[in-house]
Amino acid sequence: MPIKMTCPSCGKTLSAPDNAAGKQAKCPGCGQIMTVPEAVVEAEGIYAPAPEPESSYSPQPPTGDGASWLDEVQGAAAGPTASGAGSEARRPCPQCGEMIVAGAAKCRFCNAVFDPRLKGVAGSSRRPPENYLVQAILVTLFCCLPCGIAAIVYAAQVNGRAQAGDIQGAIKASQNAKTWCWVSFGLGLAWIVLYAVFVASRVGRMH
Amino acid sequence: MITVYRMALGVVVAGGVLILYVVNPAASSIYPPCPLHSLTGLYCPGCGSLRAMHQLLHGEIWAAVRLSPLMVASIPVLCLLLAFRNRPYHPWVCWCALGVLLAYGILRNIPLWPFSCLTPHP
Repeated sequence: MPIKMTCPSCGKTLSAPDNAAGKQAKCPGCGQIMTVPEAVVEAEGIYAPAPEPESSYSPQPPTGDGASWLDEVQGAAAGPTASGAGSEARRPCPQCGEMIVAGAAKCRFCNAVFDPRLKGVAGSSRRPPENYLVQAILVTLFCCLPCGIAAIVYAAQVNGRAQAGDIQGAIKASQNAKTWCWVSFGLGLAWIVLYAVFVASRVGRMH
Repeated sequence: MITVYRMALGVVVAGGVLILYVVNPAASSIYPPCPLHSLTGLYCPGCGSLRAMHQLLHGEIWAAVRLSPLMVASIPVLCLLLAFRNRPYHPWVCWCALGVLLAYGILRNIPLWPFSCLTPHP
């Protein structure tokens, strides 16, 4: 299932194999560098694009050196497969279990990123989960110091993991940061209540 | 449900600020003491913050700085962090916050001149 796209510079219609999604490629017509978009097909069989002639996979570059234009892709895992897209190797996505192309840089079902070069991009372009840093600092200062520090550590992990593209890990760290904020807040509140009871009992004894 | 929580939190915070404005923590025992300070005599990074907040609410910025310099300095930082909470930022920011808090907690307990400025001065 080749990815169809239009060159933003010269308007030429191009196609690339699934595993080139998200990679940098040079247009064979004008040399414009672009990012290969992801396949828009969500479910095979529901929407079947017209079969592409095999030759469209590897149009001759204008330089005429005989190489596929995708060979100019930086670090492309493999060139177009000879067997075509229909019989391309597939594997379950380690994140969501849906069947995806074996060399996919990104899962088209859950958007999990596998390509290490894409991870940074995906991590920064996405909104990271809430890291509760402000709350963590406040509870460190006003409630329970050790629990607040734990919350700050988890807050840092939220951003670190989101940046590395590990969205699941970031969500988990975010939940931990939130929990530690509440634990610290609860301990601070318990201390206030205990002190209030202590003061009230002393005042009661004095009367 | 979330709006109920938010409203309850707002009421609690407003009540706390009102009490802090009216009753000076330096002259009253209605506020609970810092557990670390009452047990060990050491100053935690938060020690002096309530007294400093009381001074800030009365517009006495210098008195607040003398009581808890980090608390005063952290207000603009916390506002910035709140403003950019939906933007992805480097985890370095969090580690810095942690480092500053811990270093401050250690340094303000050193009874030598430059560090003794960090202890709460009435």
